[in-house]
Amino acid sequence: MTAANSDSETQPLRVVILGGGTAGWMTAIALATLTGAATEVHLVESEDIGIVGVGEATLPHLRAFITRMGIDEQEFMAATQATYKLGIEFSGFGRQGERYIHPFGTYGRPLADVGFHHFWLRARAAGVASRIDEYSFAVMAAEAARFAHPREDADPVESFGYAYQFDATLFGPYLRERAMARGVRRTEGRVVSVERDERGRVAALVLEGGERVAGDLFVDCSGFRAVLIGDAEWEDWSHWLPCDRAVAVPCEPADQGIEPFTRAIAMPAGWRWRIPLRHRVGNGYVYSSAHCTDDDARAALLSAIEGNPLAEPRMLRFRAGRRRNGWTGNVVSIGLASGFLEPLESTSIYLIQAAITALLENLPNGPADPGDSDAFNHQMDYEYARIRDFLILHYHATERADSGFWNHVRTMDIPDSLTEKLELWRRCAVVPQYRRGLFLEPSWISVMIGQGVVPEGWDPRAEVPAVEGLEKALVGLSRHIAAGVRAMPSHEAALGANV
Amino acid sequence: MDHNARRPIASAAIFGNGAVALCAAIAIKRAVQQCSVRVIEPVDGGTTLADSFPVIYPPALPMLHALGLDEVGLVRSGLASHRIADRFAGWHGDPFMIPVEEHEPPVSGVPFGPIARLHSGEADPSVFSPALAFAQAGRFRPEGADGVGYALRLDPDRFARALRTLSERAGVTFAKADGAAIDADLCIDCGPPIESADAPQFEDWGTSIPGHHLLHWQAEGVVSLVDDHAAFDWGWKAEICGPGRRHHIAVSNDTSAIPDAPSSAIKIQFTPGRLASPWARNRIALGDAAAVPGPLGHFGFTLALLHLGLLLELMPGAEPDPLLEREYNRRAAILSDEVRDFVALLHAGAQHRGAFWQQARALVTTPPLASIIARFTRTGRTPVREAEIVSDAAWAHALAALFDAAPGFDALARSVPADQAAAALSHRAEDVRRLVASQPRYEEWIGRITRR
Repeated sequence: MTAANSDSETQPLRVVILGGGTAGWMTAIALATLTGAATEVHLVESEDIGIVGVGEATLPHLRAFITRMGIDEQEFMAATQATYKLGIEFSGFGRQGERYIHPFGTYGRPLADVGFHHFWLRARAAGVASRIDEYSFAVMAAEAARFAHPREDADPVESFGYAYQFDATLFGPYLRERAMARGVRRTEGRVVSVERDERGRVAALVLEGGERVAGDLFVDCSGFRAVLIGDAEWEDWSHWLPCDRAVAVPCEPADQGIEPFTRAIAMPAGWRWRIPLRHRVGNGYVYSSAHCTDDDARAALLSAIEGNPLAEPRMLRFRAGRRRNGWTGNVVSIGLASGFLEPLESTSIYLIQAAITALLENLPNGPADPGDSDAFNHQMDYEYARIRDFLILHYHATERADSGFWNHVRTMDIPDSLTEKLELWRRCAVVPQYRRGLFLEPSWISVMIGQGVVPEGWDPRAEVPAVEGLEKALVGLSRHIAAGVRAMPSHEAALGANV
Repeated sequence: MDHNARRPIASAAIFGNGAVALCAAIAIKRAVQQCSVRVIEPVDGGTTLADSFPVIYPPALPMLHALGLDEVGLVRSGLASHRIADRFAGWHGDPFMIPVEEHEPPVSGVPFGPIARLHSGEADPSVFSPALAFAQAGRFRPEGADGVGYALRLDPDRFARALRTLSERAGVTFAKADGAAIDADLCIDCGPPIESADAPQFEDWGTSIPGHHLLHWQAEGVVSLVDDHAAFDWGWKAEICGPGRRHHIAVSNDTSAIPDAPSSAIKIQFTPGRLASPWARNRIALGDAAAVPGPLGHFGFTLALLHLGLLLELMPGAEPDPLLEREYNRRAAILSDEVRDFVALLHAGAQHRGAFWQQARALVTTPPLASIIARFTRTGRTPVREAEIVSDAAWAHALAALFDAAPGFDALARSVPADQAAAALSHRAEDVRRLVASQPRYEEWIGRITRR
C-alpha cells in the first residue's frame, strides 16, 4: 500500500470545452458534477453558430446519465417535451411492406440455459410459433401504446428498458442552466485562432475581441466543424454507410396519439425518421446524395409527414466515419467532432455519453499523458466499430431490389467483422458476445430476425421438448405478456401523470 | 428452414480421469441427455494442475448448478472450504494479502480504493477491506458477509470420487484407454497438455511466468480462510489448508533446490501456456490440455469450468462447425489471457533478491499487462478488462501491494472533498469492524456445519 498523497492540494485541471450543443453541455455538467474541485470547467460557445441538436431519440443509457447528474426525470421530461420510448420500429428494411420493432428488452426467457430464440426457431420451423415480437414485453407494450415504469421485482419476461424522445434543441439549454449552477463558467464568443505550445498542444483559444481562454485539457464539441481536432486522421466509412445528407422538419402532432417508439421507415434512397414528442413530431429523411437529389428528398419528406410542417425543412450534410484518434495531444473530441454515425439506432447521444465516461475514466491528473489518450481512444474505437457493424446490418440484410440505393447496400462488401457475425448467426443462431459495447444479443436477434436473416441451424438442445409442449409454452408466454401489457396505462396517460 | 441443420451429438468421449474430465462428462450428459457419454481413463495419465488443485473462483461458481452440485452440500460434506484471501510473504516488503473478491462501495460515485489511498495515511489495507479483515481475524461465514466473495477450495481426491459417483448416476460410462481409435461425435481431452512449447499451436507463457517444476505433499492441518505463499531464493512455497489437510506446494525451476520436501512428494512438471485453438473440428481440449496458467493462485480448474461453460453455451453439434469453433477459441483465449496476466503480475512485481526472482523479473511483460501496470503507476487506476475471472478488488490490491502509484493518484478521487472523504473512510472502517465482529470464527463455523 502506498502512503497517502501529500500533493492532494494540486491545482485543478483547467478544462475548456468548445461548443455549447448537446455534447458540450453534457460534458460540462458531467465534469462539474463528478469531478468537483479536481477540475475547473470553462465552456465557450457562440449563439451565432447553430447547433445540430443530435439525438431527438435516445437509448436507455441516457437514464443513467440523468440520474447520475441528480436530475429529476419528470422535470427533465417536461422541460424537453419528452415522451417515453420502448424501441424503434423499422418498416420496409428487410422487405417492402414488412415491419418489426427493435425493443429495449429481451425475448422470452432461457430454458435449461438455452436461449429463448433457439426454441422459437425450432417452433417456427414446426409451424407453431407466432412472430417473435409476441414474446417481447417491450414490443407488445410499444404496439399497444402503453407505458409504465418497469418494476425492479418484475418477472424477467416482463422486464424492459426505456428511453426518451425529446426536443434536442431544448436539452442543451436545460443542461446549461444546471451546469452553470454547479460552477461551469460560460463565455460567449467565436474562436478566431488557437494558440499552441512548442509541442503543438493547444494552449488557449483566442476569441473575437481578443479574449484568451487558456486551459490544460480542451474538449472539442464544435460539431462537424471540428475546430480543434480537425487535423486528426478521419476514417471514412461512407462506402458502408452511404447516406450523407438529411433533411429534417418538425410537424404538428398526428391524431393517432403519441407512440412510445421511434419509427424508421425505409425510403428509396435511405430512410425516414418519425419521433413523436409531446408538442410536435420530429421528421427527417436520411439519404444518399448519390441516389437522390436534395429537392427530391425534401419533396419526399414533405409528402410523407402526417401533420402540417412547423418550420422550413433544414438540410444537413455529413459523412459516416470517425477520428482515428479522437483524443490527440490535449484535445479530446466528443460528439460530432469525433465522428458521425447516422441516427438509425439513436446512437448519437449514447456516443457522447460513452466518450464522457471514457474521459472520466482517463482524466489526467495534470498534463495529458499518451497513456490516458491511448486508453480513451481504444475504448471509443470499440464503441464506434460495434455500432458501425450494427448499422450496416440494417442496410445489408435486405431483399430489396427496387432502387439503386437498396441494390447498392444489398450487394456491397461489408466489414469482415460483420461478415463473421452474419455467418455465425446464419449457421448456428449464435451472436458473438463481447463484454463491452452497445448492442447485445437481443438487439442483433431483433434486427436479424426482423429483416429475414433466419438461421439454418439452432442449438440442438432446442429439439428436446415435444412440439406440442413447446407450442403450449409459447402460447402461455405470449398470453402472460399480453396480460401484463393490458395492465399498463396508455402512454399518454403515463405522460399525463407527469405533466 | 423447416429443420435444424445442427444435429445433436449422439456420442461424446472424454479423455482423462480427474475432476475436469468428470465435470465435462457430467455437464455434457446433463445438457444432452440422449447423448452417450464415455470417459476414457488413461492407464498412466500423468498429473494435471487443474485436477490436482481444484479451486473454484466466484465467476465459475454458477457452473456447480450445471453439474447438479450443491455448493452448501459440498461444504457440509467436508469436500470444500472457503478461501477469501491469499497472503504473500517475502514478495515485496512486508507481507500483504489479496482478497478473492469484495465489493467496495463508491464514495460520491468515485471508486473507494483511490479515495482511501489519497485521503488516508493508513498503511494497513485491512482497515477498509472486510475481506482482509475477515482473513486476519479468521472470521467468516459465506452468508451475511456483505460484498465479500470467496473461492471454493476442493479436496481433490474426495471431490473426484464424488464426481465419479455423480457421473455414474447420470449414466456416464467408463473405459480404460487401450490405444484403440475412439469414434465419437465429440471428443474432449482433459489430460495433460499434449502440445509442447515447440508446437506451433502452443502459445508458450514460460516467457512471462517462471517456475516449471512443482513438488506437492500433504500433512494434517487446520482449515484456514487464507492460502499462504512465501518467496525463497529458489522459488516459492504455498500452504493450502482445506478441511483436515494441509497441502504444501513448492515451485521452482529446479526441484533439487527445494529444501524440506519429503521424498514422497509428488513431482509435477508443467509448461505455462495455452493452445491457440483448443477447439478444432470435433476435438476440444479442456483443463491443462487447453491452458496451464501455473500453480500460483490455482486458477486452472476455474479456467476449465469457465471454458466448459462456454462450450455448453455454444453447444457443438454432431458436425464440425468452424464458425462456432472460432467463436469458442476467441472467447476462451480472452479468459485464459486474463489469468495469464494476473499470474504474471504476481511474479513481475516481486522484489525478492533470490535467483529465481531475478530471473522472473527479467521475463517479458505481455503488452496488456504492461499497459495495466503503466496505468496503475501513472494514475492509481485499475484496468477495464474484457474478462473478469480475477476480481477488480484482487487486481487493485495486487497492484497496490506490488507497485507504487504516482503522486496525484486518480483525478476523480481528488474531486471528493476532504471532509466527505474523511467521513466515508471513517464509516467504512467502522463498518469493517462491525462486520468482523458479526462473523463467527471460521473453523468453528465450518466444524459446526460439517457435523450436522
